[in-house]
Amino acid sequence: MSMARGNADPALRTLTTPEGVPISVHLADRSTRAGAFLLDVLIVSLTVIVLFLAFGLTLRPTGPGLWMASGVMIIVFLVRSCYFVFFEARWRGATPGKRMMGIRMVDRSGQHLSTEAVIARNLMREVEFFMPMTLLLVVSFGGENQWTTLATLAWTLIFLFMPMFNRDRLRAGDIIGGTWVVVTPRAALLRDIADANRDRIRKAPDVAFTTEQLDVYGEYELQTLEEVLRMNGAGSARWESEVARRIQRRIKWRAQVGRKPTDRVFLEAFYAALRGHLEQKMLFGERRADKYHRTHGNNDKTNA
Amino acid sequence: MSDTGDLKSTRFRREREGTWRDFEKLVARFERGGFRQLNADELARLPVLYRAVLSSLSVARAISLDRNLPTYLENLAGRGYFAVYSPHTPVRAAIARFATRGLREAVHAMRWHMLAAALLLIFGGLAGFVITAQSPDMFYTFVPAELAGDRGPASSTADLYDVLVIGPEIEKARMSVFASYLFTHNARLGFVALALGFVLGIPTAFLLFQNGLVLGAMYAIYTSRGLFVDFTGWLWIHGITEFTAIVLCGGAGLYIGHHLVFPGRRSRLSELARAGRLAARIAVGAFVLFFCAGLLEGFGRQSIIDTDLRLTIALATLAVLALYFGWPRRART
Repeated sequence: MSMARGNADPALRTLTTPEGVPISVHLADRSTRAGAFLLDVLIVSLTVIVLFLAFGLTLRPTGPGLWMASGVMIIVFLVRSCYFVFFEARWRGATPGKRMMGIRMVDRSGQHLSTEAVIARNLMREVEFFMPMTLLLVVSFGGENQWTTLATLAWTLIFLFMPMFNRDRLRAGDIIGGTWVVVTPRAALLRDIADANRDRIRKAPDVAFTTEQLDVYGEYELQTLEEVLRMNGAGSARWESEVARRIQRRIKWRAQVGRKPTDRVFLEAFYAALRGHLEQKMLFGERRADKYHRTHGNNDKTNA
Repeated sequence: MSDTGDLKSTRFRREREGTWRDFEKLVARFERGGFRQLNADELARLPVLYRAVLSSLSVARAISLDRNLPTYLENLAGRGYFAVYSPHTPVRAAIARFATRGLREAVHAMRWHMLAAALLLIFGGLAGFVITAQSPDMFYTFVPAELAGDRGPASSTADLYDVLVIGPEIEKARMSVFASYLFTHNARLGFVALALGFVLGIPTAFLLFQNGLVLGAMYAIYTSRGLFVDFTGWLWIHGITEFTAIVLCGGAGLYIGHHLVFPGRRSRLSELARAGRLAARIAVGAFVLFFCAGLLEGFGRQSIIDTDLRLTIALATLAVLALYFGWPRRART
C-alpha cells in the first residue's frame, strides 16, 4: 500500500510470526535503550548496596556472621548476573528498566523467545560492560599504566557504541542471542471516519461528487486526508480549511448557491465518497496508489 | 454513488470489531500480570482470538484504505504475539530437559572445540612446567602474586607443604566465605572467557593457555621438592570439576569465535545466534560445576588433608563427569 511511498521509516522491521503473518515492529531508539539500561544498573546497584548495608554492618568476623557474609556474597553475585536473565525470561523480554521505557526484547526470527537466547544475550554484558567497568575502576584507582587505561577505554567504547554501527541497532549480546529490541506496540483503534460521521454526511446531501471528480485522487491522498481529519487540537481547523480549499480547486467542485457546507463536513463527505469509490474500483482489481498513478484505461502506451 | 453505510470495509470492521476488542482486553490483562490473570477459559480463547486477529490483519492489509485500521491490528497482533509466544515452559520440565539432553547435546556439538580448549590448557601447563623447571625464577612471571601467596622457588619445602595441609583448624564459617568467594570469582572468569569468544576467540585461547602456565609453574615448584603427589591431591580434589568447567567455557568461547570467522552456509548473524544459544547452555552447566568446585575447594579440601582421600574424591568426580558427558552420546543428536 502507500507504505511503500517515499521515505520509509528506517526503524521499521518485519517479523514473521510462526503462522507466517508478517508483523511490523519498530526498533527501539538507542537512547531509549541506554536509558533503560541505566535504570536497570541503578536498580541492581541499589539492591547490592542495600544488601551490603543491611548485612555488612551487622557482621562480626566469627561464626554465624561469616555464614551470612558468604550468603551475601553469593546473593550479590546472583543479583548481578541473573537480574537481566530473570526478568527478560519472566517478563517476556522486558527488564524493569525496559518496561519503564516501553521497550522489549524479541527474537529476531520471530520464534518463541527462548531462555537460551536470553542467557546468551546477557552473558555478553559481562564483557560489554561489567568487566571493562571494573577494570576502569581498578586502573583509575591503582593508576597502573595509562596504556591499560586507554585499551580498556577503547574496548568499552567499541562495545558501548556497537548499536551505532549497524542498521538493526544490535549490541554484541543481541548478535549472540539472535534478538533485537523493539518498542512495545501500542495503538488505539480510532473511529472509522466514513462510518462514524455517516449521519452528518447524510444530512448534507448537497455535497455530492461525480466519478470524474473522484478519479482525481488515489489511496495516498485518501490516507493523507484521513490524517488531517484525525488531527485535533489547535491549528487543525486551519489545516482543514486549507485542505478543503485545495481539493475544491483541484476537482473543480462548487457548492450550490447559498448551501455551502462547512470545511469539516465537506472533507468528511469527500473522504467517504472517495473511499467508497476506491473500494469499488478495488473490487474490480483496479488500485490507484496516488494521483500520479496511471490506470490501464488511460495509459495506452504501456498497454500497447 | 454508493451509500457510505454500505462500504465493504465498514462492514468488515463492524463484523469483527468485537473480537478485536475481546482480544485487546485479554492481552491488556495479560500484560499487567502474566498468565495468572487469565482463567482457564480465557487462556483457551487467547490463541483462537489471536489467530482471528492475524487473519483480520491480513485482510485489512489487502483491502483497508483506512490507515488507522491496519496499524491498530498490526499493533494488536504484535502485542498478542508477545503474549502467545512468550517463554512459559514449566521450570521443572525445562531443568529436566536441560540436564538430560540440552547440555550434553551442546557439549557434543562443540566436542572439537572442547578438545582444543583442553589442549590449550595442557600445552600451557607443559610449557609452564618445563620452563619453570629449567629456570625457577620464571615462576614469578607466570603466577600472579595474589595467586602465589608466599609460595615460590624461594620458599622452604616445609612452607610449601604447610600450604597443602592447612585447613582443619579453620572454622567452617570461614570456609564458607572462602568457598563462596571461589565460586563467584571463578564463575565470572569462566563467563568472561566464554563471552570473549566474540572477539574471535583469541582472548579465550590466551586465557586458557595462561591458566595452564600458572598450573605448570606451580607443579614445577612442587615437583622439584618431591611433593608431586601431595600437590596433585590438593589441586585435583576440586580441580577436576573446576577445570572441566573452565574447558567448557573456553570451548564454548572458541566455538563462538570459530563460527564468527567461518559462518559456513548460513548468514553470519544467524550462525552467531545459533552458536550463542548453544553456548548459553554451556554457561549454565559451567555455572553448576563452578558451584560444586567452590564447595569442594572451600569445604572439602580444607577439611580433608589426607592425600589419598583427596585423590579418591578427585577420581570419583572424574568418574561422575565422564559418565555424564561421555557415555550415551550417540543416542539423541
